[in-house]
Amino acid sequence: MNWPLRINTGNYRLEIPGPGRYVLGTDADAGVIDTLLAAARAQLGDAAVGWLPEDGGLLSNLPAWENLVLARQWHAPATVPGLETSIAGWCARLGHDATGTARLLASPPAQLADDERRQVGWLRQLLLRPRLLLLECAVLPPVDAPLHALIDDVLADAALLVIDAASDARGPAGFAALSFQQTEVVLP
Amino acid sequence: MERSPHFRWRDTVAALAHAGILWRREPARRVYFKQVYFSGLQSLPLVLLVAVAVSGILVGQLRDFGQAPREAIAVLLRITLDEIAPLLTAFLVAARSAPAMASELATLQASGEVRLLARLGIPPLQYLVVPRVFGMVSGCLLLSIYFAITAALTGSLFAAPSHAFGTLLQVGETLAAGAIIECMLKSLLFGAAIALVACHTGLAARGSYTEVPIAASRAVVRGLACVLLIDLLMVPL
Repeated sequence: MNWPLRINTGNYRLEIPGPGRYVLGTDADAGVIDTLLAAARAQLGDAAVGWLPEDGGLLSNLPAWENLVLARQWHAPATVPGLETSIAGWCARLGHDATGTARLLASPPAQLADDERRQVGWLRQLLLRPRLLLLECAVLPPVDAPLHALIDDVLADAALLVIDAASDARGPAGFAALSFQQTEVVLP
Repeated sequence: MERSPHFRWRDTVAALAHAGILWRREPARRVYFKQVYFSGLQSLPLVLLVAVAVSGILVGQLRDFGQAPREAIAVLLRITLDEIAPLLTAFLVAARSAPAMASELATLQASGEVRLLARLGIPPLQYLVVPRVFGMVSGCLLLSIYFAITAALTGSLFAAPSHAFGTLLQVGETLAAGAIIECMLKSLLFGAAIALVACHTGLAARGSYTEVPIAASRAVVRGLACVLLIDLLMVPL
């Protein structure tokens, strides 16, 4: 992918300089997420853009394992070698032993704690390996060191863009602030 | 991207036309097989029970009207393939699977998970609707075949307990292939109609969970109405 990435949503443009962590402060309604996702997917392709809401974004009618592999298997239909091994390794880094991992992956979302749902949501994005990941602020707890280390390892080449609806342009620590730029309009 | 994903007939037809591409996607295959299991396999005991009961009742009535065993079996086979197998199977599927499908989709819609799918880059119609429609069509077809075979066997046993299979084979040889094709065609159409109506009513649910039971109820009523209408339209054929 060529950096910087310029996402044009019509009236506005967002420029992402390169891989890293960014925050986009916006007081716009939730439609801005759909607009950004659509524009980014049109430019980069479906598999290159991820979305992670604050509750992990799991489907209630699927167990955690099916939720986890859903996006990866949909966007890359070819068999993924070593998929189970990767997930087991990531779960171990997040502090789950073999039994805990088995329980986590077999459970429906309703039986998972909030942080477990978020973890499954993160594992889904790690498996997808998007180049641009849009996420809600609350899904990235500032004190979860193992999770941050895992994200840094697996998504080192990706840009993580926090959509901060509270419009706090500073965002979490270590995140560079971005903002929409109005597209120039040439008057007749 | 869809701002508010829901069921659109034009998009659904387009998605159904590209079902071959979807078959390569494992999540879509999983939805299909779950639907076949739920509609086609879990309904099997109920369908077999109805087939046994209906064939016994029909043969009993025919005998009361003075039909010989061979004629009773012939009439039973003809009626079963023409109407009873596809129609009763469709009724059972519409009563059992359609509300389940509609309420599941309505719940996903009410909880915002249909929109979530779209945000994950997974088209809701391709993932939620198309595999379910094909799954229910396959389920309906399988159940009709089970129903017809069970009704023929048990009906023969009721009509002529001592030489049931011999009589059934003799009658079966005179059976036109067109009757079997018509039975299968009806099952396909009924299954598709029930599934499309259930998906439509499920995804049309908006706003709150109170719409979930309404969607389930509508799926049954509209599904049964569609089945009867299709059957009526096929009478001249």
